[in-house]
Amino acid sequence: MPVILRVIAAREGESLRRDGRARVLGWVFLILTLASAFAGGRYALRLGQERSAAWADNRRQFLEQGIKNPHSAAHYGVYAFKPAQALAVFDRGIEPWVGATVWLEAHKQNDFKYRPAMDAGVMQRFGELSPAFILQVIAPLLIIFLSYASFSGERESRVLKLALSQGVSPEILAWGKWMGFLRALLVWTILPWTAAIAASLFLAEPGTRMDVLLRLGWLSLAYAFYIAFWIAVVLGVSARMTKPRNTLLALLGIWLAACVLVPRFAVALSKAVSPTPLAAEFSDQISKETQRPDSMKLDKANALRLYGAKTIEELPVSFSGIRLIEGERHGDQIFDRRFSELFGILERQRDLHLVTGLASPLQPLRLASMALAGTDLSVHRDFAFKAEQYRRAFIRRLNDDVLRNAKRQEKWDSDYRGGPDLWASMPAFEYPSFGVDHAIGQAWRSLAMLSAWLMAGLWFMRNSARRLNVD
Amino acid sequence: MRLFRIELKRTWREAATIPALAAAAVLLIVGVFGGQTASERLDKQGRFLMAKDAEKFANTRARFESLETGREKLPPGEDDPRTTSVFSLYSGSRQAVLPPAPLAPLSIGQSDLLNGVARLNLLNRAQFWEGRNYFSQDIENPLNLQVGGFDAAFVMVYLLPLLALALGFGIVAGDRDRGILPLVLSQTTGLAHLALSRAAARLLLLWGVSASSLGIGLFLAGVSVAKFPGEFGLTLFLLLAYLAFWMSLSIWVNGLGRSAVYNATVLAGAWLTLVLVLPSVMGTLLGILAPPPSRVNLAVAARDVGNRINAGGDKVLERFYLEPGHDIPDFKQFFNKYFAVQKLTDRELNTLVDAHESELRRRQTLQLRMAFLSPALVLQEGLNDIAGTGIARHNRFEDQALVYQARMKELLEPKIFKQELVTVSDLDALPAFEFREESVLSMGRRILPGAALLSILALGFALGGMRRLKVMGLEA
Repeated sequence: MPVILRVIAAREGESLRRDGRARVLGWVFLILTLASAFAGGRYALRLGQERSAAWADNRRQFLEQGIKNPHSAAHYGVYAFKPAQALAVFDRGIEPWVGATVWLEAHKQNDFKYRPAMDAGVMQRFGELSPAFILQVIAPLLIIFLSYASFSGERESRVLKLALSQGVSPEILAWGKWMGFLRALLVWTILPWTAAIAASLFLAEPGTRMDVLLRLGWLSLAYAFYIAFWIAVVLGVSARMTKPRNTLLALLGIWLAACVLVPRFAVALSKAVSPTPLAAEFSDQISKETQRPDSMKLDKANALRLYGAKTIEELPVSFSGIRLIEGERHGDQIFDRRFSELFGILERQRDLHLVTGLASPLQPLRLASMALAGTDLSVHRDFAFKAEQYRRAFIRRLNDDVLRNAKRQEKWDSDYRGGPDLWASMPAFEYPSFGVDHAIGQAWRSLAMLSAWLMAGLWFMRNSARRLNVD
Repeated sequence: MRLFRIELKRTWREAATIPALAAAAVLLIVGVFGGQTASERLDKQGRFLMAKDAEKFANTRARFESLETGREKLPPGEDDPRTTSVFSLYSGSRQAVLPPAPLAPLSIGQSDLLNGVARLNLLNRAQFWEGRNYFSQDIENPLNLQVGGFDAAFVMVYLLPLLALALGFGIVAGDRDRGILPLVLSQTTGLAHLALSRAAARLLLLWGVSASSLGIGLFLAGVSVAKFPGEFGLTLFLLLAYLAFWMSLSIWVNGLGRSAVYNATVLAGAWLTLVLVLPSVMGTLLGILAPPPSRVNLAVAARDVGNRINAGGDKVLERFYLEPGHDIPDFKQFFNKYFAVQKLTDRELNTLVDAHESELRRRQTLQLRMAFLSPALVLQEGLNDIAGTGIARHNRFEDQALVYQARMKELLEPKIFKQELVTVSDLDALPAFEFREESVLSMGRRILPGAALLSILALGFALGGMRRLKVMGLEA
């Protein structure tokens, strides 16, 4: 690196250290970020404890449900609880906005219940105080307030003319300032970043710590790109504008558009282009499709044909079991189709959010951050899928028990009972979460877009510096 | 007054005024449409459910009538659909739907998170919100919930203060920066009076345009504000107080005697702190001081209660049937046992659910009090209230639905345990659930303290700023 660059960068760092306004803003930023890391840690810890306790209670309840017909046990069902992600400390993503648990029961693929945001109140709609929120929304403002007068202010005070008269090219000056601000910002974020890393590692399962570290490495890169972009844009605008007042107003306008308006616009766009079905209509459709009007006759004919029997009593298995298994098979086909359509819509909406990333770098950063923290839609979909696969295997085991052991008769055998041994033979639901490779697979488009934004920002800064007017 | 009229004309002629006001008008009208789209969705969903409910009820009633009058005879072996236990579990459950309030297009509020549909039946209270098939809430992309929709409330809470500040940051400093302040002062009665007239003129223009745009937006969305003067009046008053707060803050900052750039920086910082950072910090604080009671824990506890009662089996049920009013000890029937377990579960659960509900409502009260610390929260809470998309209306809905359910239980439960059939007159005694709106007066009681607080703050900042400006004027 040329010495002159290092000198300019060091000078910027020094002037930031001397600037009382920068010190105040820096402290506010630091306190906010640390507080958010603390709040995030507390949230993830509480969520993790609550869900793992509920998971254990739920298993105990299933085992202690007493003696009953296995189909009653299938209706009693179990709950699948989504484990809290360690990196929710840093970015809670969609976690507060989706249900924490799903009830797995016979005949139905249910929706997730108990969104934490439901009871959080109106304050949460103003944004959650998480390290991700601070870096996504507040950090650009900090950059704006600290560096909007970087060129225009120096121009007004004639310092710029003096600096350039010493033979420094405007381009080098811009690069030096960029490096100086970037270094200062990175130094300010080291402490909260370390706190977030420590909290995430503390909350992570022992075998997943390396995965968490790798994710944090990618997150650091994504946020460094974002911060570097904003510094470049602020310096570029400052170089182009003649008055600091106009620079500040223009930059606040850019921030407002990028961090407040575009995300809301993305919501409206996604809803308009790819609307989700009404819950009532969607449920009604599934209810209609899962009905099997002539099922009794059909199942009977199929069973007799399959086993070469003449009467139900001659079947080697229970007809009640056959009916239950056929009912589930029919329902599963419908759930597969309908829920995959639904998740398709949700993913199209997510893609539309990414498209609006052409208008704001916050959009790709948000999506990349959630994906890397493991709190995005793809993880939610995967959890929903695995919970549903578990439900099917779970119900199938109970139905198989009815198939083998209930009476060989056409009428439903309500006298057959299962007990603790049968319940204990049912494996508990465990959710193996994705590794970092999946997260990168989900985030790569957003990361590529973010890199493009950084390139564009640096190009803008360089061009603005080349056209720098010292008067 | 003369100075105010002059300033009104002058402001109107300024280059930035018309674009700023036009932006406010367009954003508000687009915002009303955003809110209207969301409320139409809720309305469509509610109508769909109520139509299904009405159809099911009409069919049930027609069948019961023909069975009662003997027009229809049940084939041998078929269960009588009028058996109260069977009826209560299937055809007898009713839907309770919270319809969108008349001014719902103003604010989406919490309507996309709170469940506005409850299936009313004889199941225990823990299952109150869970009776619907497949989905207990509307289908919303969590990404969209996280960001929030574009509605008029968003424009009013976030963007209008920025326009107010853009119009107000240089009311005095602008002239001073240009060096024409002494000239301006030579033609007026004083700097404080001048600042107040300018601020009032700008405030009136911004508020007037916003109020008209809201009226036009609502009219285009099919809402006639003339039918709801109280609610619309409250909206305009709240908005006026909010904008007055920001404009007065501008007077106060101008009173510091610094440059327009300095004023812009301070006011932008104030906006960021009060609109963006403070609500978020307060939300986090609230989460730490009073975390919401866990619904997951409640569900687990309810299951434990159910398990215990089921495990008690016939002995528990026997005790239940020996109580007065349950004098037919025929508890072998599946449904009778099922409902007896529900009733016993309810009894034990009531304490748990009541504790959960009261903790939740205590938290909501605390949140409403904390909201007074941020003008943005005062406006958002007020608009949610007026639009009927806040927690207060939802709590009313829950209370009314519970009353309906209690009436349903009162009517049907004795019949289950006495094994009586449901009659047509029983059906007629339970008309469809209808939500009763609260009066504007009672809504106003919740909203006006916030508006009053904003007005007092506005007055305080304006007076404080004017005192400083008076001194500055004398010096100039």
